[in-house]
Amino acid sequence: MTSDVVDPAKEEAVYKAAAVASEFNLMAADFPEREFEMYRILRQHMPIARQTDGGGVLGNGTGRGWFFSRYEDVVFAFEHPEIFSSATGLPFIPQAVDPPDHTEYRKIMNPWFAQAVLTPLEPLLKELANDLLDKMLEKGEFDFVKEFSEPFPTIIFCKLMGFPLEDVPQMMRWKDLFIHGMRAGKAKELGIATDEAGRLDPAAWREVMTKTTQEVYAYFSKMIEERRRNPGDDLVTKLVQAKYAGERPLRDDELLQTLHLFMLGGLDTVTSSLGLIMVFLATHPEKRKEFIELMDDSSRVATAVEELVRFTAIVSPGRTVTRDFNYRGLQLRKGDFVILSTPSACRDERVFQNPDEVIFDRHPNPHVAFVVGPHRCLGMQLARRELRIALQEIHRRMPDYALKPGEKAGVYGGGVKGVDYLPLVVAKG
Amino acid sequence: MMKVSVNREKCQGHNRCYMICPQVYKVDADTYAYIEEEDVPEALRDQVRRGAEVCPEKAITLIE
Ligand code: HEM
Ligand code: SF4
Repeated sequence: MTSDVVDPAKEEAVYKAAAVASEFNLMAADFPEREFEMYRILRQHMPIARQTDGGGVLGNGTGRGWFFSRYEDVVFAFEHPEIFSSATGLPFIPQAVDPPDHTEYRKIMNPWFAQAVLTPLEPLLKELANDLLDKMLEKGEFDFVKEFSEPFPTIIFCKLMGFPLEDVPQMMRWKDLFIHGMRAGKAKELGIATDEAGRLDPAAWREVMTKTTQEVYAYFSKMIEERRRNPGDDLVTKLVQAKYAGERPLRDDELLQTLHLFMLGGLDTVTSSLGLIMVFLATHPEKRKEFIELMDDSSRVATAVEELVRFTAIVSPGRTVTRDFNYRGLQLRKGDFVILSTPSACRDERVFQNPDEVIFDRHPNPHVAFVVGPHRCLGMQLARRELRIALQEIHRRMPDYALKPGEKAGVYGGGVKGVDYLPLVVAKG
Repeated sequence: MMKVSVNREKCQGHNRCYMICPQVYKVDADTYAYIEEEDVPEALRDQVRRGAEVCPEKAITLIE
């Protein structure tokens, strides 16, 4: 055998990979349909793919970028923040901060999301899930996103923060503006100007972002003042009492940036994850049956939830290259933008056998849906509990359901993907 | 006898090990894992190995 034997099928595959890479756009309307096929092609033929517009996330002309699709490369980048920096200039603590400052912030925050703190919350989570189910199940058919996956994490967030529950709808609207305002399809619905073709007007979008940030900051400032006067056992109180490096209280700008990130990181992620899991279970009744059979076994259900989190990984974080760096022969340059795809890494056939299958007792499953390295999701233990308890209670109360005939789930792509419409019909029991 | 240790420099507090074998992998108030007794009882060997295999930071070492 010599290496100069040409295999026509392989030749075609390489062209296909070049085509996928050249038009790759996480925000494209047809992205969800082709997503996993494109990742597979890129992982095989172009594991680090050149991008000119940040995979569509950043918009045209934002410069040189790369899309990382393989598990080992994504992990390498997450574990080397000195080369792949999170400091994107966005006002988010701790997500857009690098070590060593990042380490100090995480030292403060990690204990708030530890097992011993979260386990006692389980009865409350269960009760909240059932309250929503009571209302939802009065109807025979409903939009699961509106009725459950949006309000559930938002109510929990408000409870943890000590915000009044009547502010839940306001919180959901702010979250939607920030996260979905740049999605052309959704912008119109949110009242952001679009052109005739339904494309977003960037100036209008920036204006809405500025105004929304002001509103949210004003709201958070009011809550911060209130807790300074009247401490409670909520996270806002813990934040105002925290000491940076054991020395000084957090400044107001630090408090605001942290609360803002908790809101953006804690609400939509659970909504998306739970929504995508329900899309899968609604369309795979045999897997749903399997889940229902194991869901009361505490060890098996934990493994099953982890598998569902792997399968529906939603986030593709960005990093900026801090200096010229040769990675496996590829010359990265200072300032390059890098997208680290956890949805693709979590399906990497080099690490996971039959990656496109949900295998509830999959082992080992070292997935990276919450990333690895210093920025690993702060809220992961809360997220796992929210997902497990929601799935258990949902399937206890409505074991038999399906996608409404003739309708489609509103799955969308992006830096954080998700589903904004999930019409379900429940079988009469 | 199998021995287990957690590299606290590498551990990022995913608690995956703890979820699989809480008898051996403990987690502290800062979410990081630690081991109280490095000698693994015969009956827990498999579970401890499974816990090590899911650690996404490869922070756990087993010596057999
Ligand atoms: C299924 C649900 C969730 C998923 C898939 C998820 C995923 C992620 C990912 C991928 C990151 C890393 C971002 C990066 O490296 O740039 C992250 C960070 C973060 N997440 Fe989550 N998350 C979830 C739920 C939550 C919840 C419930 C909270 C609650 C507060 C939360 C708070 C945070 C925070 C504060 C960070 C920033 C951590 C840092 O940069 O040090 N997340 N999350
Ligand atoms: S799974 Fe690994 S990173 Fe997570 S707590 Fe255990 S040792 Fe630490």
